[in-house]
Formats: sequence, structure tokens, C-alpha cells
Amino acid sequence: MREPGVALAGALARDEGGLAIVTCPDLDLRDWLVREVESLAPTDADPFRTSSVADALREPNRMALLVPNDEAEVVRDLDACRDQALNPPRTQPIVLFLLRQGDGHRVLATEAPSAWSWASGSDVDPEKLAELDIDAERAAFEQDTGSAPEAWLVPWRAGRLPRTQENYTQAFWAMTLERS
Amino acid sequence: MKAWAELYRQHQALRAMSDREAANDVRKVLRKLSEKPYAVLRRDAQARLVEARVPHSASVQYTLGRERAGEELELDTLPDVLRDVVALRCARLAVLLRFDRRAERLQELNIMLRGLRHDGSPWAVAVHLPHDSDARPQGDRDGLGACGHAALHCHVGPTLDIAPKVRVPFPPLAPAQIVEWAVSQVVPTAEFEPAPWSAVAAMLRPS
Amino acid sequence: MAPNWKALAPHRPLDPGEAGYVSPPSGYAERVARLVETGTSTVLVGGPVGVGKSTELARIASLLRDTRVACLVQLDRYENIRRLTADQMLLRLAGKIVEYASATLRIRPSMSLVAALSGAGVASPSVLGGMQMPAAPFTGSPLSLLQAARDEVTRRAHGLRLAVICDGLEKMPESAQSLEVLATLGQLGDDIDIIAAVPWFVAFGAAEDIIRPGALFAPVPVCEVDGPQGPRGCRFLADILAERLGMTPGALAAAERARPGLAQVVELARWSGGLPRTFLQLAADAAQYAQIRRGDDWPDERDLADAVSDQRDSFRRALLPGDTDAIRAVQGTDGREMELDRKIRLLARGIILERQRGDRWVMDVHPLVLQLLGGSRGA
Repeated sequence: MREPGVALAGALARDEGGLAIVTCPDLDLRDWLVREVESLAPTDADPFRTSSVADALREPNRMALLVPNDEAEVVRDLDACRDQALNPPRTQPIVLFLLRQGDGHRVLATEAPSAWSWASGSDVDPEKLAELDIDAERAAFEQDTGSAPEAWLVPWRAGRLPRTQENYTQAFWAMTLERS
Repeated sequence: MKAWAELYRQHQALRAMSDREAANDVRKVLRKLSEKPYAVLRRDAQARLVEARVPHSASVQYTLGRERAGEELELDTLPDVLRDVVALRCARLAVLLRFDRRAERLQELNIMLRGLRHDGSPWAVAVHLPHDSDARPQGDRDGLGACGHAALHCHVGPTLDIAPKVRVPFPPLAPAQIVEWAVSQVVPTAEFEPAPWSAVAAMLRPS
Repeated sequence: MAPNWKALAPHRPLDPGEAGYVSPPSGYAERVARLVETGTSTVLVGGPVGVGKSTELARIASLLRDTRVACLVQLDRYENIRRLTADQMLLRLAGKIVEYASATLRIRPSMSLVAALSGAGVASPSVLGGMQMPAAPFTGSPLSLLQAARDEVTRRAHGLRLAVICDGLEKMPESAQSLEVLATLGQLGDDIDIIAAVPWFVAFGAAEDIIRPGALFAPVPVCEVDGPQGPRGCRFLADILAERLGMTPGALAAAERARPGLAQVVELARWSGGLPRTFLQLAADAAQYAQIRRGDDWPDERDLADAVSDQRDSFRRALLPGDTDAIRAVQGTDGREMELDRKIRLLARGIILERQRGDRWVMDVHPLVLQLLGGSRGA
């Protein structure tokens, strides 16, 4: 499992002054993901929000959170202006927020190979990554502990296991995987 | 009695929160703790608060570290002047938060810090808010009552098991503030005090 | 010493003369430079994104500098290529030719030329050199300004022929305005060599001759990373990694051997399909996972696997309905049966790669896409 926060922070940091794309399931979650990126960004990244590629390019030393009004136009502009980020070299990335089924991804796939290539491997869908593969995690739990989550929780709930930090953590995880 | 009932009511009210907002606030605290001049956590700790969602359910959890085991505090690398007042040789911080996203409710909280003193003896502090699941007949009302076993409570001692099991009632603070508090107990210096008295006094002054 | 993974900068091509250039197995830049020096006056450069077109163009500029006034113009660093007009391109070329002559050949341009460039808004600060120019706008034709710049520079460079190496035009959309830009490039005069990156539609459409009749289309080949030629390609990519990390290839190999469980460079190379940018992105991504997860200087196999997953997700998002069947059908053929729009789109992104096998060209599928389609890498 790729941890969503690590994947996102890695995308922001991979290319100094590069392009990262955050894929958002809907507009409400886009707002939340913008705030999540703000909370993940190092303090010296000094993030700012904008809807314009030109504004993003004007601030090479700040993390530009590019939240488009018109996704297709912004992607086309990024495709055509991308190398301006090398002149002068940016020190902070441009982070583009695109809807999962939106025009931006469509244009990336059909018209904008340069922008697609720059962000390749740095386009993260954190909401998708956050979804657990319960079957795989249960199998891993059984392999680690020798028992299914439900069976492990029986002595824990009966107070027969020591209240250590490790056991609290194991119990927390077992409850996540427990089948009701 | 009335005071304990009121505290319990406050703990109930505390649960109403958006998981995303609470997680972002915790990330900001972790970021502060992992950046200079603090750097008591390894760099980018904010990225290691892992969100995991159970498919087809409203349950979402946040844990620190890929294996949920938390993170060692980097006590060795603190400046000498800070290290001198740290009573622990090593310490590990764990953060376990569970939410019902649909109900915008904090279901369970465990923020724990355990370590070793310089003489090798163990020390632990842990703040718990039990799961308020409908599946538990007693809900979040563990123990005999709201005084002896307040819903949001804190254990302090050599271990979490050793008798007498101390359960200090905890004020209704959000997860991010509890992380701040736990670290401030281990590194009791001005650098790790999120609410210095001078700033508090300024806030208390009538505007 | 810990490697500086930030120095990988997958998105940054090398500039002319910049240290760290590694010649690809194809010897592309040397071959093109030789062609130009022996009379091929127009070379159109193509290739998928991330294959190294910009770095090869910069290298060509370096190689031609003994025999040409070889000026690299990275148009995309100054202009929105999507909106580029023929006049904007001509003015930008004029400005860059004079800037190059001034900075590299130490030719001080005439006041009149500097004033005209300044009036057109394309005089660089190094050309102006602190001169205060009258604010009069340039009112002549952009082509005449370019010709004036060319004539002044070549005369003062003792008759050296001018070569314009033009980067960035490959980002132009297929439109009437783009065709006009390309046609205008061809009108610069036969005494100027043109080496230009061009969009894919030029290679496959009727536009090939639009710049100059008989222009040579020369795609930058994607190096082989599997099969008999694979070791050469993998070594090329490993050398790029070592150069960007500031290590010798030997030191990089020793670091790999010293740490069991470390991500293997050859694995990265194979997953990249031979595209240097993808290779560097995989390495940088895996290194980020290592640093953020464990504070480790070197990625392990799990970090590499996750970097590969990240890249695979990007390739998946680039696939459209119908692509899967079309890609399966084209694999191993010369690609003539694939509809043109789809072929251009997939070639541009490196989803399918045109490779020379013996005396024929065949369409190969990028290993990450092959995996998405349920095949095994290197099949």
C-alpha cells in the first residue's frame, strides 16, 4: 500500500520546481485536498492559491496551488508554457488540482503530452490511495499475529493482554479489520 | 457529581469534528515538530500521518507511520541546551485516530508516548478516548464512573498496566493539541511550549 | 556521502556545454551534427516526450559551434507556444541570435540593431548592457529584423554560417497558426541551417515539407533496455544517473553492491522503457519514498515498486477507450494499420515506442503499459 500522505509529499518534492497533479473526486474534496497540501507543504514552501498559470509562473520561489476555473485551458497553457518554469529555475513546484473525471485529465490524455510527461509519476489520487485492501490487510494481520483480527480481539477485550503501546496499536488495527 | 457529568458532556461534544480538518491540524503540529529549530521528529513527519479508509463504510482512520507503530522522537539530535532537561533517553510517539466520516465524529483516540529514562527504567504517557461504537454495550463509559475513568483520560506511569492504574481526566482538547501536550511533557522547554504564558496573557487581555 | 537526489531534476534538460552529458547508444547528436556539416540544412527533430530531445538539441548546438554560429533558441522558455505567432517567433529568434553572438562570440552588436531589438521587446539584458534605449517601438517587419540580425552577426563572425537550433515548437497544437509558424521558419533563407523540434503531426502528415522541401525528419531513438541491446541502454541510463548524482559510474555500482535489498538501477532502467525522463522520475520518486518513510538515502525494493506504481497510474490515466485493443494489435508491427490520430497520441507519450530492429521499424509497447494490459515486461 502506498501511503497517501507520503505519495503526495513525494510528488511535491520529487522535482524541485516541477509539476505535481492532485486528482480530486469532486469539488468539495478538492477544497479539502488543497488544505491537505497546505498542511503537508514545508513551511518555507510558502504556498499560495491561484487559478492562473501566469500567476503561478510569476512566483518561482513559492509553491503555487493551481486551482483552475477552466481545467482544460489551464492544462493547455501549462503544456505550452511548461519550460518557462526553467527560466528562471523554480525552487517550488506548481501543484495542479484536477477533478478525477474532469476536463483537465481529458486534455492531458488527448492534447497535452508535455504537461503529462512532466507530472508523470507525480500525479496522485490521495483519496483512491487511502482506500484499504481489507482482504490483503487481514491476510497480513494473520501472518503477523497468527490469528484473525476477531480472534486476537477476544483476549484483548477480556483484559487478558497487557495494555502496552504495541497492543493498543494492534487492537486499533484489528478493530479496523474486524468483520462485523 | 455535576462537575463529572459536565466533563463527560464536554467529552461527548468534543467528538463532533471533521476528520479531514482534524488530520490537517495534526499534520501542522507534526510539521512544526519535524522542522528546525524543533526537529524532534524526523523530517516530513506530517506526510507520515497515514489516512486509511475502510471501503463501503464511513470509517476512516489516521495513524502515524506506515506500520502504525508511531515514531521515535529524535532526542539525540536536540541541541545540548535542550537535551539537558530531557529526562528520557528515548521515546516513541504513537497517534491512532478513528472517525466516522459521514457523522463527522471522532470515534476513538489514542495518543501515546512511551520511552526509557536515562537509567533504563520505562516511562509512558497515554491519552485515550474509547471507541463509542454502538457495538459496545457500555459505549465509551468504561470503568465505574466519569470520575475514576473519564471518557477522555490520560495514563501516566512506568507502564500503562502497573497498579495503581492512574487515569487523569483530560480536558476536551482536540487531537492536534493532545499531540502538542504529549511532546511538551517529554521536552519541557520553551521551544516546545505551544502556548507560552506571555502569549496567553496577551490573549486574555481585553481588546 | 549521501547522494543529492534533488540534482536528478528529471524535468530539466542540459544546456549547451553543461557538464554531465552522456551520449546515447544511438550517438544521435553527433550524427545530426555531422549531417548538418555535410550539407543537410534542415533537420526536423521528433520523438516521444522525455526521450531527450532538448538535451540532444543542446548537444547539437555545442557540436556545431566550431563550424557555425550555432544558436540554440528555447522558444518554450519565453513564449506560450500554444499562442505563438510567426512574428513572435521571428522576433524571438532575432533577439536570441544577437544575445548568443554577444555572450559567446563576444560580438558587440551595433547600436541600431540593439535599438531595434529593444523596440521589439526582445533585447536581452546582456545585450542592452545597461544601455538606455529610446522608447520608440520597432515598426519594421519581424522578418527584416531577423535578417538584419543574421547579416550583422554572420559578417562579424567572419562569414561563419548561421545554424538556428529551435526547441519548443514540438508543443504546438495542430492548427493553421502552427503551420504558418513552421512555414515562416522555412523562409529564413537557405543560408541558415535549421534544426528544430517539431510536433508529431509534421512527421505523419502533409506538413513534413512545410518548412523546407526535402527536410530530414530524424526522431531521437528510444534506447533499448531489454534484449541483446539492452545492456548498452541500461548502461547509458545508469551513466546519466551517476552524472546527475555527481558520482562516477563505478561508485554508483559499488553503492548498489554494498547494500542488499537496494533498488537496482537496471530494474529502474527496464521499467523506464528507455526514456531518460521516466528513468530519472522513477529514481527520484523512489528516493523520495525512502527519504520520507525512513530518512534513508537509498531506496529499497518496496520504494522502487511504489515508484513504478506511481508511473503506471500516470500511464493508465493517459489511455483512452479503444487504446487497449489498438495497442495489442499494433505491438510488433510497423504501425501502419493504426489510425493516425491514435498513433500520434500514443507515440507522443511514449505509450508505444518506435524501435529499429534490424532493418525494420517496429512498434513496441512501453513496459508499464504492457503490465497494465496484463502482459509481462520485455515480452
